[in-house]
Amino acid sequence: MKKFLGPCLLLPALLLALGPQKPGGELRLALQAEPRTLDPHLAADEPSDLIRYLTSGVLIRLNRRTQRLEPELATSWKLSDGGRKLAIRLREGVKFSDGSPFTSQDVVHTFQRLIDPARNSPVGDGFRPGSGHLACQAQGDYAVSIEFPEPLVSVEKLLDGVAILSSGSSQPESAVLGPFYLAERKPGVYLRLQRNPNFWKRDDRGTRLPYLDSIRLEIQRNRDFELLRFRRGEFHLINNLDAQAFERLKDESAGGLLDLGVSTDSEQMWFNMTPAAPIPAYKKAWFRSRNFRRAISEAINRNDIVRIVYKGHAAPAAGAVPSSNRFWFNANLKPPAHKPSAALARLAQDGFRLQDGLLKDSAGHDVEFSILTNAGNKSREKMAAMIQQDLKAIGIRVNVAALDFPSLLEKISRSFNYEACLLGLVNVDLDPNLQMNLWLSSSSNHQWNPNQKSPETPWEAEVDRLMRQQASDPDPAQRKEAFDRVQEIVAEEVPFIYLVNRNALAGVSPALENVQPSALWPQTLWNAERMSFSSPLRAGSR
Amino acid sequence: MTGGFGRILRMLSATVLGAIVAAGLLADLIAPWPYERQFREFTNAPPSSQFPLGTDDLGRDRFSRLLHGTRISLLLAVVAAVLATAAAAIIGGLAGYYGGRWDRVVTDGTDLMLSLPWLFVLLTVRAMLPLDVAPAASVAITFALLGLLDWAGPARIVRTGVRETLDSAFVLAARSRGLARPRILLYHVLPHLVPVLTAQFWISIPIFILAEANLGMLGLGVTEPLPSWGGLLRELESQSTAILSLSVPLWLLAPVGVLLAVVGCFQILSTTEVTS
Amino acid sequence: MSNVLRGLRRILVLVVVVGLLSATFARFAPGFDVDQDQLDARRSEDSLARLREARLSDGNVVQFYAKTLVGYLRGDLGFSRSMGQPVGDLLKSRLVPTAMAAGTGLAFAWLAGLLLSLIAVFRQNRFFDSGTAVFNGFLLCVPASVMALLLLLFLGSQGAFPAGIAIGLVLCPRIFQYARNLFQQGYTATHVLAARAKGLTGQRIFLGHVLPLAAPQLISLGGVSVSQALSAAIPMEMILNSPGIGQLAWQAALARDLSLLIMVTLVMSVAILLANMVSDLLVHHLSREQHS
Repeated sequence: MKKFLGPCLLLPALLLALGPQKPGGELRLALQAEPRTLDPHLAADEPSDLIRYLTSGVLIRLNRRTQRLEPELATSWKLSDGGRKLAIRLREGVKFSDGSPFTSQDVVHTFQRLIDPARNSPVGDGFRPGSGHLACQAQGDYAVSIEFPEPLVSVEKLLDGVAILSSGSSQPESAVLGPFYLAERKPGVYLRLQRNPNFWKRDDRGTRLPYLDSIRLEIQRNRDFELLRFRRGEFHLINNLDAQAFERLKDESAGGLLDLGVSTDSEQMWFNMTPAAPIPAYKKAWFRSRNFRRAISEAINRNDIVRIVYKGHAAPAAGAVPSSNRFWFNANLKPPAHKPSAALARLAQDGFRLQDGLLKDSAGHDVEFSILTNAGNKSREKMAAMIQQDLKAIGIRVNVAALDFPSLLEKISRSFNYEACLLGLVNVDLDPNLQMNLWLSSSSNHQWNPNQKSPETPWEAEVDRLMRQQASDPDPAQRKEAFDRVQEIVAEEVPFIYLVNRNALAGVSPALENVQPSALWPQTLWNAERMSFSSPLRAGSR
Repeated sequence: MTGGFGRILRMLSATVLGAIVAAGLLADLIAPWPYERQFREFTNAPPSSQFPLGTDDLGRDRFSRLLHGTRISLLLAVVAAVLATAAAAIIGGLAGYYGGRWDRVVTDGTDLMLSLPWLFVLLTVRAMLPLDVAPAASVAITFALLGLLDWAGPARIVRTGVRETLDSAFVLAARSRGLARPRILLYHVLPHLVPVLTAQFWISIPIFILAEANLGMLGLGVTEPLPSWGGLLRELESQSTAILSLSVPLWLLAPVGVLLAVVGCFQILSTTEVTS
Repeated sequence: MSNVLRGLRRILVLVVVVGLLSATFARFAPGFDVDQDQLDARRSEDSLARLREARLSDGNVVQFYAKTLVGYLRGDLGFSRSMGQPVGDLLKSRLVPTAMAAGTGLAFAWLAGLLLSLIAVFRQNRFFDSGTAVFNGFLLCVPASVMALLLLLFLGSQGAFPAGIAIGLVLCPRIFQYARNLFQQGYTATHVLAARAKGLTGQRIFLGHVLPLAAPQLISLGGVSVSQALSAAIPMEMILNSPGIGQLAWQAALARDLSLLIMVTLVMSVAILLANMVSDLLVHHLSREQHS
């Protein structure tokens, strides 16, 4: 299968090499839901975030292909004073979509708005590591300096998500710096983004970008219909295809299908280790045992999950960081092998024993637990059924409970009335600083045992220490070392049983040129400003 | 009218229905494999001597799952349909018969039943159940809820039917002859309701079977690895592109076929009752 | 006329009860006070606390009722948290597709259902009877999503019209089953048998004797079918991408969006209650005419 994909990956590169770009045309694709907000500083759901990405200008952008930072509205930047001070030089001669000039005042305005507690922006939170205040000051028209109360060593990466807004416009969506602006919205039906005539970027020949006239984002919840319309040519792009659909399309020899390799998404399972959880004490004792967690991890056949649930379009997960995250991935970690006998031996160390095919703990309790997952996610439901059978092989009875998302959230974050949970993390940011709240034991997003007053285990204390250390260390190599150690501790202690990392699967119309798809979000759309149709006529006809 | 053909058809329907019910009841004996066993080397296999209807996405024998699903869904759907129909008959019947304040209370009640978002009640019920509720118990509870929630519409129609009958000439005549109330209800009113009640009963069975699967969205209904007809039918959804090109492998349609056979046979048997 | 006024007054009371009850149901459903945003790893503890606070401002049901009622009286229908838009705007743009879909569905279902049942009773033909039985069985047995896919295949489009046809296909077998059973019963009634014996034509027997017997219950079914059409609209609008009230209802429910949910429930309940009122009045009127 892997061999098959090689040529597919080359295809866009070949297209890139073809003749001059022809401007024009409307790119059409589906949004799976209505965007919840048009305020780029509040975007958290995927549709809102995509509109934010396509319409707003940022100071620094992460190149999704090279995973390196590139200057956009900032021409240069310098982090000094151990990560406390950031000096940015701005691009001159840039105009907003409404024609007003872009200056340092707009950057100052943006940061003031971003960190306003009343706005409660999730992007803004990243700039407030402690309790202090950030100070952003203009140094003339084209330079700003930002001072942070505490060192923020990876702050440049945060800037990839900060939409720069116009200080002269009260509506954030009415004056933008991105390649497109929101021209039309019919709630529940579609949004149309129009080419920003003032967009600052030009191609090598000096033609003003973007090439496309417009992007039409149709709200299309049903993925089957999205597929169908892609096949009919009504949609030009399709992201996040699930493996089943991808394989079916391939069987029908539909063109333009791309396996972009491992994404940053991960699927994982964890046990409830919250002391206050309303579950029997003997079960809490199992879940708090490292041997128990490791045994479960070893009893799960990840290769089968990859092969059956994901049709090979996934990789068994080695740990907290998928291999797609090139810098932070710890290459020393390997996915746990499927070894039921080793799992049983490990369980025996804790006094568990197999009796008539059923596993019992030292006090004679049958070992059984329920796995909570969200209803409606077919891959997860299948994974749960496979885990059920894998664990049955070592005498553990598993119940699968699929709940609707709010009910699930209530259980894992309020009542803690659950035993194990199977869930995924999607669109994970590359830098560990953006996952601080997952790893710090005091955080409410520390899923297996949130809101700890002080770390309850020595290894969690060590993870806390390493995470804080890497957050303030300006030296990338030392940060990497610290986070590698975090990954190793997590692999040893298995608070999360990492299962698989999904591949990013996409479909791209052959009529599109200059697509440089990446496994990182937003996959095929990340360089939308450079995409074009090979023939405007073809784009117009469908 | 066409007596001979009708009789043959009726016997045929009864036989088919009997066979399906028997197959469901004897699932443990007939099924070649345990319904939850995953043959991971044979996922999505076509029918073979080993797997008469092929295997599903996880390599489980479709035939065995269909047999077990039949037992669960058919039995529980019939019970739920009886429950809903009986509730409609009793509540609608009483409102129509007694009239006055009773009638107002019942009509207000049915109108509320029809307008309220029951989804939340279902969610709350699910939240109150423990997470490790056994799959079989979960299905049973789901069907019970369906039966308890789906009587309001038919109750309204029953009520109208009862009022009409009570006002009709022959019941007035019977009353004037001094017939006791229970006798009037039993011999004059109830027969008049038979068409509405049978219609409701036969419709409810497939509706409940499908609704059970949809409640999976709320965490109710059948849970892994137990099969139900609703769950098996929903697997068709993943065949969307095959459906769209009308190239669904026929064996995948077996659950639809069996459900269709059951509903069709029921229908044929019930129409005969009414016409004869 | 006074009947109509009394009916409307009753509807007003019931609508208030529906509003109160649905808000209460939603408030006590699991997951009311949690938000998917809380899983956002970027958020700091302060920010999470503020999210929770905002969420819990609707937490006290009594206060919420009071606030919402005052808002309604001022003409303010509230703000939908999950959709980021005023509830009034959302409803305005979505009433038409649902009215169209439900209207199409009801018209289709009643036309097809009555037609099929008429043929079934007029032509007492076993083949036809079994044929319609199987056809209806098929409509009842196919999951909504598969039905929607088939519609997409045959109609080639999605939106309000296909959603309407889908609703029609869901309702049709129910109406057929009721109508056929009622008509068949009509033919077995004693005075109809007598009329038959007198040699009346089929048409006259049907219009003069069978239909009047079945009419009251069919009219009641008519009222109830509006509520069935609206509940069928929820999945069908979701699957067939028709931006209507049904779709909104489902999203509001999943997001536990109280302001939106109450308004959607109220709109739907007004339609259901009105339909039932009209059918009750019609039945009442008919029976008075018949017995006078």
